[in-house]
Amino acid sequence: MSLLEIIVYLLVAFLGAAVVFSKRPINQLFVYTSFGLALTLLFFVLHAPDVALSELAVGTLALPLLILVVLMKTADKV
Amino acid sequence: MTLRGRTILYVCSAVLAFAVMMYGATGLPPFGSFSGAYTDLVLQITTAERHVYNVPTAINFDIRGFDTLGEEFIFFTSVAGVLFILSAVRGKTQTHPEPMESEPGIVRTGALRWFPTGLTAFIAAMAMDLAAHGQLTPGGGFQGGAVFGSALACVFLGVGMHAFLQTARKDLFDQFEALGAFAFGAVGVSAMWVTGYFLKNVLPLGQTGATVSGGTIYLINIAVFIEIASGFTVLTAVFLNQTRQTQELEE
Repeated sequence: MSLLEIIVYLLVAFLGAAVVFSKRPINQLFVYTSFGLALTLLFFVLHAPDVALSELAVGTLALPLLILVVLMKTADKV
Repeated sequence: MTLRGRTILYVCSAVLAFAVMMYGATGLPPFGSFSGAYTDLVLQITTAERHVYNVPTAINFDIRGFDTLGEEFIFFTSVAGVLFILSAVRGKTQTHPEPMESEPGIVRTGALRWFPTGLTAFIAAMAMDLAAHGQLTPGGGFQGGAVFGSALACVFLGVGMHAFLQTARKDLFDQFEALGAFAFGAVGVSAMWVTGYFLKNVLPLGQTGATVSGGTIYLINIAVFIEIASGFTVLTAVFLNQTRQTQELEE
């Protein structure tokens, strides 16, 4: 396992834990987006650029947008 | 259960689960090794028999094309479902919203306005590049389509809701989405009409490495790009429209 792989694995583990331990949903959303970016890096490092591109589009655009809209709509009720 | 009891229960099960996982991990084959025949077979025929360099694209749109057709219609049905539910909430779907003179609470400086607006064209071009060379380089219809959706979201970030809803015209992109889904199915049915096999690659494969090559793989790739790009655009438009509605209700 190369040094780059180890760094990216640790990054994914750290950010994954950070997603779980985020208290406020809005903070969690941004931590999740960073987690998605880290996963993109991981897939890229593991020679799966197609999967990395899909993860980049879904994990850092589609899902955050969806959650952001839900948070905006329910802002007063949470 | 007391806190102490729960802690003991958690520690015991955590240790047990960790031990089982570690035991399982020690027996795993090394990364990247796979003893099945499928991998070698696919790697052999992708370039030799399909004239395509990017193996995932060949698998998605030809070798396992029928599965992808199912996935395409899952996406199509999901978008249709979201549109149906959200327009039911609204009562009727509004395609041409009245202009809002100023969006409350949003002040855009020059950089905030021009940076996303400038990125729009760049990202849209990148999306089309990703999709157009799906059979040669990483990427393809799905990835390109999703990136295209984010290009239009940049219009919202840079200029505002009204400009975005005018660009991401739901009535227009709805039809493009249906067209993309139809084209995928039509390629499959035409192949069946000609050869008797659904989704068989009937078109001339072209030269390996050429911009247009791979036969039906190229056509399906473009069809998927049109469907996913339009689908993401419609979804973004509908979701952002929901936030706007909330603001109006509150005012």
